[in-house]
Amino acid sequence: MSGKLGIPLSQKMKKISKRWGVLLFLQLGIPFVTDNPYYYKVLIIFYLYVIFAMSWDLIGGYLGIGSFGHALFFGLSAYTTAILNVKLHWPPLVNFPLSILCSVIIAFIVAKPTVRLKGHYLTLVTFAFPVIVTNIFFAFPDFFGADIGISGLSRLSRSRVVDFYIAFCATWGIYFILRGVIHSDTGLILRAIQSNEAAVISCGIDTSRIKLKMFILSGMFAGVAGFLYAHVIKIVEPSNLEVHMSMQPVVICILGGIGTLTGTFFGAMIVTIVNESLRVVEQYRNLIFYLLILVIVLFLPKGLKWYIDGVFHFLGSKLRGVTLARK
Amino acid sequence: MRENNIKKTLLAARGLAKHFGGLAAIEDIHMEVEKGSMIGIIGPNGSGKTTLFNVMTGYLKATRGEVFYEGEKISGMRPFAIVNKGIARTFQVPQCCKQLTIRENIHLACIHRCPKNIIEEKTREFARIAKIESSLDTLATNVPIGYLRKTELAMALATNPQLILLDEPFSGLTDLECYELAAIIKGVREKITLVVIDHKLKHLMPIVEKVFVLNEGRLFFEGSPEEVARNPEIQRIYIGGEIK
Repeated sequence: MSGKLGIPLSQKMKKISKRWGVLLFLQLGIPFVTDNPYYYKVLIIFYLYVIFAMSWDLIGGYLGIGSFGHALFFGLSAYTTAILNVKLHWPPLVNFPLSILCSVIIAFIVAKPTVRLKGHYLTLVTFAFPVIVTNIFFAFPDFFGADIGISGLSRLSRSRVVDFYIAFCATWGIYFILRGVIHSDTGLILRAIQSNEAAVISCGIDTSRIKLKMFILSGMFAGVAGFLYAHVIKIVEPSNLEVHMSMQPVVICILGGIGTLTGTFFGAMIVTIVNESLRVVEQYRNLIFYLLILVIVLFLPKGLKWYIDGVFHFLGSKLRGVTLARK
Repeated sequence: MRENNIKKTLLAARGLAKHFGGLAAIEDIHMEVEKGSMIGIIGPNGSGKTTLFNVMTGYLKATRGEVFYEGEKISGMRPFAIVNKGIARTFQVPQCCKQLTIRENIHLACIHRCPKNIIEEKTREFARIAKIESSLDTLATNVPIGYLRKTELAMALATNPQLILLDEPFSGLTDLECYELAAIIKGVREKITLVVIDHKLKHLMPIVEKVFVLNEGRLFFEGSPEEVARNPEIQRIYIGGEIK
């Protein structure tokens, strides 16, 4: 069986396992090192950011669609599970497929008229939808909780450790699904659309259909992040749908490296650390956060992954040099 | 007899017109392309040659008239659907994905047509036909225009077409590159019907059987390359010299 452009799949998987095996193993072992609930919460939030950012990276990074309303899929999923959980007392497990379904439906509604648009028009439409939905939520304050939102959601499970493993599995599951997509022929089409859509159309490929599918997949994964977020933070608010929330995955991807997927882990790490560290200066948090982003974008424009890869490559070549010299 | 003629017609334009506001880019074009033929379309700049291609391939919507492919109406279809019917095209400015390698560009065109296990083999085959085998792993952004034109042709071939519309394939190429590309085009015409727009008559005329001359959006003349070469009106008005 062959993977992308003739590279054997077994060889590809071997490469993946080599690179990520150690990291996965280390993460799995975290519960054996600490039982501090705060660390678990921060780690789960880190995973949520990774999922959310990966979902954006699929269309923003690989497809080149500047979506700035991704919080819509995240927030709608969070609200769906919140309403079902708090008002109808349905357990998270039952709410999960329904929340994701809501995100998928809204992703379809947003994508259908959007995918044939280009540039600023497309960006504007992605901006407009969350504003419309937020206003609808405010029109029914009794149901959606207006400014206060909906609180008192039940936890994913009774144990933080189980919550951690759920977030861990969701993150790595989604990572490998997206990796599979990106390294398949579909991934090649995505990169080609970003490079020159006219060329892809002249190959007889329905680019609108591909974009629609990717939007839905992206919305679905953003919905997973929203669902997990709702049950970890245990409160959903209109801010979950707003621009600041939509900017989070964009910022994470820019920090980590747009269109790199693995870069989202680095970006999410920075965002989580910065967000948590700045809690002591809450009123300046956004200011410092965006200033830091400005600095990183100006001085590390390719994203952290590119530089980290460079360091590892350099160290690797040095180590190989030493080994050869000894031989 | 009439039935046979209808069967032989691969592409037909009936009263085709495209207006941009008050400007008639093409007007009342009636044209038939027979299966297995090699057609040239010439005319001065702005005579509507590329607009005609754009309307035929679904990139522009016709103001009036219809396009038929193998007797089926294709006007109104989207460009990708027309490609899937069997009409491939190239562009004045080569449309390759510059961030992908030549191999990936051809691979892209093979995706919906070849089983996965033979895509690589097919990619090499089309690259060999287009004489770009040596550059398969080079990024399209790093190759000269001659290679891009060949890559575009290889991509068009990979869509498994019956008809290819080539829009100014010799534009921007040196004489040597033009001769090489003309030889490649001659090589593929054995299996595929071709319609070629170009201004470089020195390279176009020897490879086509029939020429349509457009002027100010209208079909001005149709005939063999020899008839075009002998027609003083065409030479004087549209070419500005003698065709050799």
